[in-house]
Amino acid sequence: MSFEAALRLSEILLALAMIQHALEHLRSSGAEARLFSLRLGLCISLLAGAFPEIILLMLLVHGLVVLWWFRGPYNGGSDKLGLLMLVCLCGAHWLANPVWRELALGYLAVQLVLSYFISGQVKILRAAWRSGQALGDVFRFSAYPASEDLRGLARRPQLMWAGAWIVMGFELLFPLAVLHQGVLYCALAAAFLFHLANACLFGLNRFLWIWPAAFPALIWLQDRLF
Amino acid sequence: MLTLWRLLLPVLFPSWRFFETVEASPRVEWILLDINTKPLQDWQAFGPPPQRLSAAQMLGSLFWNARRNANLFMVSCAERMISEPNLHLHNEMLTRVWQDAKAHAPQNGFLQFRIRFVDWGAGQLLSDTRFLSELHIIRKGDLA
Repeated sequence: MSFEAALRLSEILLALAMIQHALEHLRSSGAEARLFSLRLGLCISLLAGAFPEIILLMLLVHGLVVLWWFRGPYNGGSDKLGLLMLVCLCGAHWLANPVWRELALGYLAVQLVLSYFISGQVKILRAAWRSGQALGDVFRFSAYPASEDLRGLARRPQLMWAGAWIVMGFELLFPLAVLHQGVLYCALAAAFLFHLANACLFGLNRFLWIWPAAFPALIWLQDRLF
Repeated sequence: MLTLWRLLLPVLFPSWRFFETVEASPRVEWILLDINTKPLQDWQAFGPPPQRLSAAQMLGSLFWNARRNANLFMVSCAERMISEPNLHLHNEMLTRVWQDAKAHAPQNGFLQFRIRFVDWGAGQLLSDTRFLSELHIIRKGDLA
């Protein structure tokens, strides 16, 4: 995938993910709805493709205002990745030196890999994760299960153990996929299924749309390096 | 400006330590009281999850999950309210709690909310209330 294609595809996927985020805020009252109407308009402009470098800069400023508005990310990791993407895509457009522009997109790809690897590494170091107890606790008493019925899964320790090891295995092995293009496509498909499961079980739907928006950057980097 | 940098740095250099540990989890609850501070009902959970979700509801939630995301934001507010309490957070929580409670509110009375942490120990769920708001006056059906 060429640098330009990766950049444009990332912009389109990011705009679609941010439109989904913005629409959810429009149900809020007054100023919050107005704030996200503005984001909606900017994202539609980004989709249209006219002056993306200016629209991205405006979305970045808007993202900082939203960060200040809620005194932090509204939706944790998904907001963080969205803002990081805006910073990197702005860099990929605005930096003067072509090498720096590539570094900006490359930084996004590296962060995508780290988002899986670090998450797996911190889990496997914990006995509670290795035994499956931690995943059981997520279902048992955390605020995350999307419905009360799902809490019953905590009473199936073998399933929790298997689930924990599948998640840790996927997260830890993800960086190896960068070594081969075919394996990378399989890993990205697995990553999408992972986010789909998180969306269904824990209601984390925003992650499902924002993480794949960074996939083109990694596909480009893999192509560039190997 | 300093605040913005403090918020922006974790975005530029994220830690990505998702679910490293599973610690006690907050529940936000509210109660309405009459003018004599007598409770009008039991403590009510803020935005409790549904008992079950059908496959169609789950599919729909992939595209539209505004209520759920607002609830997760309240969880994050509750955690910060305990670790670094401030007036802005308190007001943010009060506004959202009121949105939940106002349909049941009396013409005159009080609203109160609390943050209760749920944990697992000795084979059972443990509960610990770590924050109890002051009584907020309701006058003529609105928060005063």
